[in-house]
Amino acid sequence: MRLDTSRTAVPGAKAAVPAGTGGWLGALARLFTIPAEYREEIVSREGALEMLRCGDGVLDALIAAGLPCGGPAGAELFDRYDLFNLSLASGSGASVPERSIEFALRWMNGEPDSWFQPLEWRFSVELECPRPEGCGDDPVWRLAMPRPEEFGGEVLMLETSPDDAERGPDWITARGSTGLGVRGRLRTRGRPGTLRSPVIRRIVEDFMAAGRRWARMPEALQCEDERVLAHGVAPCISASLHLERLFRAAGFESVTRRGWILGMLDLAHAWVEVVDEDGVRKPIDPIFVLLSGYARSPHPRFAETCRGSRLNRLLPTGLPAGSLLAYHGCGGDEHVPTRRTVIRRAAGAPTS
Amino acid sequence: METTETTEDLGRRVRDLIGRMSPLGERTAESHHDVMNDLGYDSVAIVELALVLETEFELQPIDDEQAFDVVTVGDVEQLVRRLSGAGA
Repeated sequence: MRLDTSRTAVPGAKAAVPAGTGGWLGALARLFTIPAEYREEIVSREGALEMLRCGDGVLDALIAAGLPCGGPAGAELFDRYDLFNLSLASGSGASVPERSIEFALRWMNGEPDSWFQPLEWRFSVELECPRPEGCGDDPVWRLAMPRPEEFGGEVLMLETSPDDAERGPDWITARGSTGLGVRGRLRTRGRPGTLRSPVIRRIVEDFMAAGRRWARMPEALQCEDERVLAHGVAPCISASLHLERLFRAAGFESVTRRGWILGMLDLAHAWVEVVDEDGVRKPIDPIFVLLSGYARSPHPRFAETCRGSRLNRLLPTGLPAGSLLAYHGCGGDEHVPTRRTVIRRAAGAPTS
Repeated sequence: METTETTEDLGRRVRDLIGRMSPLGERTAESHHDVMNDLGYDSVAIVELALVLETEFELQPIDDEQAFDVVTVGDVEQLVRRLSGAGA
């Protein structure tokens, strides 16, 4: 983030049409900008340049072409989701989102067996209050309970700080101003599966044929799934809610599920599960198929695997797609807590 | 001797790079330093470091299993030596 200054133009220098502008402007033309009621324009111009790595000249061209921002010229403020989605669509190959996502999805390049073998993980999560003025009265903290057993895995060890945090089927809950820390060890497993019902397959194929692209956005906006999908973008929660409705309308038992993609980066995720005509509940993850477009060379069987297989990179919770994975309340208000997450593969993994 | 000097030089370049990219600000990185606890790297910063290492040392793509194994600066030095064929 700090080294690659060669790609950044000298501040204040404004080339007429900097090299590479076309890709960025094309991405801007296709961008689903975050609607006003969900926007948070808090990323500075310097922060935007660090994320986009496009140089001042390109950023100025994007602003002139309509990239939404607040603040005065030269000290603009941007929405982080707009910047992320713009970067991902730019094709520059240099922006932080493009490079980070490509790295995080390299496991999709592996052989299919590697998606199903048991894997052991160590993790720690610390939740803190985001209020700059400090935590308010009656603080309560909740973190979604990891449920690897939903996909055939198991929790091997779980510790909380404070020790007396309540452990329910769906939430780990603590009270008090010291926050909530959770650390543990767990094993995930995958299982290959194939969709049998032609009706289910057709619903999935129709969804994929619509040509939507993946985008990040606030969870509350994702829950307005029809509004979002109509704009040609498909975040995971929107896609899951939409498909759940279609499966149920076709007479199939279906639920959405929230969870995490396990890897170097802490990626919250959601998918839909449907009971196929053979009676087996199978996950369907069209977003993984869209995401694999950002992996450099995904295995040719990966897309089909996302239709009915359980993957060892997914850590399920017991919560539906629209749920937050972490929650904090204090001073009579609800907040999304700041979170520090570390996920590591446990020594000796994979196991058999 | 030539191999040893090359290996040491590679390690020094890796340490310099890690020190320059520290999220805590540019600083000296020693082989025994813990990348996360001593130098302030989080998961995103480690991904960024991996990508810069690949470019700087012309390495094969580093997968996340290899990145997971990184605890100390010395671990990064060993990883780069292994992937660059410079020996352990």
